[in-house]
Amino acid sequence: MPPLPDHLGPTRDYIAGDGGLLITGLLEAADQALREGEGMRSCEIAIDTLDGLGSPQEVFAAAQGLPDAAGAEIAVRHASALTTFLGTCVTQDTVPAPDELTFTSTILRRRLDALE
Amino acid sequence: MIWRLARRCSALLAGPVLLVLIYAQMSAALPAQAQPPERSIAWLTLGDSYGAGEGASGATGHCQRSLNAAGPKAATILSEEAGWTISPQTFAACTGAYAADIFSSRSELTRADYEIYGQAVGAYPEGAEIQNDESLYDWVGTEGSPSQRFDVIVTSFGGNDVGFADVVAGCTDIMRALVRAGGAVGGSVASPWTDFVTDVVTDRAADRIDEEGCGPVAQELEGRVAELLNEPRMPAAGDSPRRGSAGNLVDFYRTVADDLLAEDGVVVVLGYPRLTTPSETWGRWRGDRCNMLSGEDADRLGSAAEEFDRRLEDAIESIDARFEYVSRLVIFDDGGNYHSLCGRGVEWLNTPLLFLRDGTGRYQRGFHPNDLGYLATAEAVAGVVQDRLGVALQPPPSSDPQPTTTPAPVRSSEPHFDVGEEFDAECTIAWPTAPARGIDSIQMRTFCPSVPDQFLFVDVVYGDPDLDVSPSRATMRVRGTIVDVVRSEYGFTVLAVEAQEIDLR
Repeated sequence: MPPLPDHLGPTRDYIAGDGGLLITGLLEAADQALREGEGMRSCEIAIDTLDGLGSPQEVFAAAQGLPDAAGAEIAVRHASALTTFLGTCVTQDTVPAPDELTFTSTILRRRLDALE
Repeated sequence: MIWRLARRCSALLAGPVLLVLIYAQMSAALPAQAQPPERSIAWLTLGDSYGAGEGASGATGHCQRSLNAAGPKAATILSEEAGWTISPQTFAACTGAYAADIFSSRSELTRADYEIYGQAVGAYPEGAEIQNDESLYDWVGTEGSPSQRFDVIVTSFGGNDVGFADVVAGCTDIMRALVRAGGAVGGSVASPWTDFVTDVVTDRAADRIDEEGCGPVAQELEGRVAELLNEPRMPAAGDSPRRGSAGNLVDFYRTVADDLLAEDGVVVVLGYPRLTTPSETWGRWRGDRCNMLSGEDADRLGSAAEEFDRRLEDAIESIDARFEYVSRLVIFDDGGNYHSLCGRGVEWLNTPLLFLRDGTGRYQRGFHPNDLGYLATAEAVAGVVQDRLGVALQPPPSSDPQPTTTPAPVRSSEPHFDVGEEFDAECTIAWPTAPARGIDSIQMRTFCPSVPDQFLFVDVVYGDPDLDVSPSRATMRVRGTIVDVVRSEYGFTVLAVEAQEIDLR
């Protein structure tokens, strides 16, 4: 993982605020989408969660806005993977392979843990 | 280039004996090198982020200058490989530099409300290596001697002036869908995310590409390049006393040569590579996507990059004989052995999603060359400089006009990490990935600290299935041959090495 920023204060403040809620919401939505055994319903639940969080612009802006630049890149990458996963689910009526979304979820979770 | 041919042949056949033969023939076929000049060569590197070395290892500070950038690296190659004496060296390049920065200070530009396509040009941050009240031209004086003239000036400008980075960002499918979602055009009000994810995957926005997508923006680039080369870059420069300061990029370069170049010196102008390889060369597993760019958009940007390169080359070569143009697009294309993003071979550019894609950790340096990209450029620059300033070993055989040829690069003895090259590094097995043992060989996924970060792992195959490795005995010196470059579907890159010798530590 890339080195942590020299000054963690702004990043920690951000994560503790509204921006952090949106980013952790992205992780929650991914967990819901990846839940096994629920088929297409898992994607619907994840989309409901995202709609409850905010608009796509708000959520992507929150990911991009993380003061830790590496963390921001990871969060945007995860948001992109989640978008593609759900888009495939909605348009093709099938739950896609979980590999990439599992990977980005893991990396983002590790980064947030490291920033605590 | 014969060495490129050798590399591609070796990629196909990868036999050590064949490699020895090919490289022996290659060495014999290389042109005799010129002798170094009898005097010391004064060297200046002047430019933007592609001149400063952003994306290379060792890049530091606001300006992201690195001695691995093409300019200083070319000087090092000539010094170490060809015995040149190069001194003094001055390095006045800074990430984010515009053509207007050559002769105008940021204070002047901000006072004039100078903009690049709607983006205001801001002041340098506190602590930057260059001051807000000095131009790059002034910085050359403060970095070196104010009256110094240079035998070699390596320079690159223009990428920021045409706003290429913003164009690329606007071409990614998710960015496009976000813009569309912001417009709230039709669709389900109840679930904006359903609309959004559907839009991204079906790329409905791409259907309207000629209205709002990447297409017109890429076309606009052509107009921007024409402005860069033909129109004044500093409209409000009337209050700037320096000549050339109200001109276009070509005028700027001419003035730089008039003011800073020594007699018989050379200005080497560097171009820019295409960012992604043509989509037809992408692996199918990519699903017609490269770093959130669709194949169609990547090719549009590729065409724009070709146009940029062609026009820049024409403009530079039309100035006068003091100038040489080095096309990074041609270097990175490498005769169809593409090294831009998403090619099948070794990538010479950093991805915008660096550490997720290739393990480099240089997250803010996407779409800039990595060390290998700068090295390849430096070798080409060194070849041009040697051709111009080196002392030829033999006079031309006749006075008949000789056909114009591109000078051969001066090859550095540094590892290039390409297929067919020798490999020699200390590596440690990347536990918990356990070695796999076969009938007559062992395969090990290893991490080798001296190998560039873009190669996340080195997979080593060695012909001894009983090699005595364990979690407590996992570090070894590996000597062998690079036989392949493999990219994971997660995006990271792995070197495949056939080891001839392993010494366990």
